Amino acid sequence: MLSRSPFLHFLTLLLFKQKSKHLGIMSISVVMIALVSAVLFISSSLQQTLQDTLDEQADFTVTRIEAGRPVSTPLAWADRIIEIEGVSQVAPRIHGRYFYAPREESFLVVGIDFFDEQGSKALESLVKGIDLKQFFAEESMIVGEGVKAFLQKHYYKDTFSFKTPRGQFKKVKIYEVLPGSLNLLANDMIIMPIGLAREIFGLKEDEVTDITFNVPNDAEWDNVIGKLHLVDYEIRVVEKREVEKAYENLYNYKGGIFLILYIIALLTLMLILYQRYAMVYSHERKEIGILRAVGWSIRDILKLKFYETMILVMSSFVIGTVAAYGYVFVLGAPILIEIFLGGANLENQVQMIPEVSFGTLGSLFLLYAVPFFAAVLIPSWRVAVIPPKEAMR
Amino acid sequence: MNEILLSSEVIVYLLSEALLYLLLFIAAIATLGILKGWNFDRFTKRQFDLENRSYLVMSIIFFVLGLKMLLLPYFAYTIDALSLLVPGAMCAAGVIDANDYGSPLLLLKIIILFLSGLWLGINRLDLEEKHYPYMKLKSWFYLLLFILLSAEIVLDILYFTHIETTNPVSCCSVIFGEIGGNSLPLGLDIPKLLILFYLLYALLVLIVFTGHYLVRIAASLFFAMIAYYSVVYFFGTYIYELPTHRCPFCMMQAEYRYIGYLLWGLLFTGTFLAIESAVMEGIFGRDALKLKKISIGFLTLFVLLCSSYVGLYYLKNGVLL
Amino acid sequence: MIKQFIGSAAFLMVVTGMAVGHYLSADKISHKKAFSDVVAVTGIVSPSLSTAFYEPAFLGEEIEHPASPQMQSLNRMEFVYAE
Repeated sequence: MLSRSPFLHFLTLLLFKQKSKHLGIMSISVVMIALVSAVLFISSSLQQTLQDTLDEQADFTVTRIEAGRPVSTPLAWADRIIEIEGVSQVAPRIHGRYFYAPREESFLVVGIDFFDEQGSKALESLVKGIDLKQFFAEESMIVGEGVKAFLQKHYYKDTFSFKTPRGQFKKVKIYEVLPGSLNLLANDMIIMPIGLAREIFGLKEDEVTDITFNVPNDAEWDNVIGKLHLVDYEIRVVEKREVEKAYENLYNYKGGIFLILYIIALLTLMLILYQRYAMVYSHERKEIGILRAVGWSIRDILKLKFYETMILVMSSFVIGTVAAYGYVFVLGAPILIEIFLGGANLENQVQMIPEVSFGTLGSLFLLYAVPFFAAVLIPSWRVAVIPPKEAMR
Repeated sequence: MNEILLSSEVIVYLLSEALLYLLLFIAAIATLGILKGWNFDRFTKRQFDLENRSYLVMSIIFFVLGLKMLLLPYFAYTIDALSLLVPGAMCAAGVIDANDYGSPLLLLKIIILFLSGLWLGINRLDLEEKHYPYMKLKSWFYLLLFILLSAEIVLDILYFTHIETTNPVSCCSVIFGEIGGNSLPLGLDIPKLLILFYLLYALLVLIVFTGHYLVRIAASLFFAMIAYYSVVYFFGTYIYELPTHRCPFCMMQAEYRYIGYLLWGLLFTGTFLAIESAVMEGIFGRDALKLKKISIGFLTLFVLLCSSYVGLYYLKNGVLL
Repeated sequence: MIKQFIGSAAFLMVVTGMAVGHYLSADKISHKKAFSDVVAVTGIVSPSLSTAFYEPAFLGEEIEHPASPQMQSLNRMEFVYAE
């Protein structure tokens, strides 16, 4: 039934007859939508992935601050934190960045504890078939894909020699490589037994990098913070709440600054659209004139223009978002991802989890469709109200 | 510059509102011109231009009001998204109360949508006739709307620039819950509220096909109010499956499958169409059978949807909350 | 409606359908589990930012550049992720 409607027939005929006119506008629009969609898709996917790991995070992290810089934390604090009521799962951690001087690049070395039950279980499910006893007994490490690629490039096939601050070399075997799907978190990561990490960073037996712990009852959080500051004056407490907010801001800051700059591009697009639609060729005028002469009212012509614009907007929106989807989630957003993850260190090829919400799509649509329609509205009206007699001349 | 204004939803929202306001402003100026020189019986070039110009006004308003309908749910979505940034807020309810501009803004938005729907109705009537009988009426009506729309954009900007991200706000369970000392209006309790809810619905269905226009308008408005309270204080608890959770906003979140948008959308359109049909019949003497049918359909869907949550909960758990 | 239009509309539908299909068939749960496992093992929650050695590598961390404390390049991640 729909396909027989003469109005629709005429509309679609007109669309394809004026192909060249529409193609230019459509290609600009598609590029603009694809760009902004890609940025929003990347940030919402990153944000979602990070939010999903929130459950596993420790509620609090404490470090020692000396003159405003984090320094190694005394292990004795752990015992004092355990004594605070409501605190559980106190875990001293050793992690830090190992600088590979010849290439000026660095890895993130994380020491893990054999006695951390939850961590061991997670490690077992992460690296299939790992023999925990063997892994902790010998001097071996599990590396991220980025580290592996870097080591391969520099001819460290199975082992890598760390240089400790005491000037000794420490040869460590590459036990396993983490799957590439984890690159977002673990690209530059080296996981090794905690004792080995302590040796590599030259920490003393009674020192760690920081201490994490949980406080299962949220209502106790502020209370616990107060008590922590009694442990030592040089203590610095990072809460999970702050981390959570940082994730939200991560998305906003990047997306926001980008969007504000993007508005300028949008205004330019509006200007182009306005110009394009205000510029009416004589044959178009004649067309409108003929339509008016055969009995179309101004309303009908406005309707025609409206549907024409609608189809353009919808199809360029669909092409643009689908292209951005493919670019981000199938190809992994090459180049653009570097804005989000940086490119100063190891090369990172992340695989992002598809995450597109209705809200994001709605934002994109409003961001594009409102300026588009607003720019086209007045020129279309100008064309529609040309008196038929004048138009046919 | 605070974090709120860097949130992409807020940027998109404010940009859209600003662009639409620009168009509305053009339309308002054109309308002033129309009001000054309109005389349908004259055959001057000026009158001819004005007639053309009225098409511009019409298309602008048509387009803008259409988008405003999309922007109201988007506004709800935006403030819901902000709830992560504002400390203490669990959903949009806290964010909307973050400053004094929030609640008036939301109310104004709903009123504007109502009035603009009426404007569209009058416009349709006007175009059906040959000599634009309601041109003056709808122009004045639009100018009134424009004043409200100007207030809206001012409130929009004031609202979003005055949300503090360091001051904690109250979450919905405080605003609507028993802790806040909030209770139902008119001294109602839950059973009375429910009886009133279903009775008013029945009343609406019964009188919608009669001629008592004023009664119909009053009944629709009263039903909308009672329905709002019933959803917040009774049906909502079944949507959340938690007797203490009372909030009109949380149900718009993904955990509840965005049901809030559908629920409030049905109530709003149903009530609006009921009132519009009464206005069309009472003031303009038109037949509005179709409008009445659709409005009753929407309201029935709304009531069924609300009740089904209670029914499903009872079937699943065998008890009521 | 003319054939060309129906053809291109169908093409758009198919393309959209492919994207939706990809989205729905994506194995999110095992990904999510793997990421949670990494966090459970290491306790590091920041994305693996590819930053130079003297730049903060974790979100929210602050380190001053030892050589030029005043100068900040635009390419620094903390410019991007300011709080």
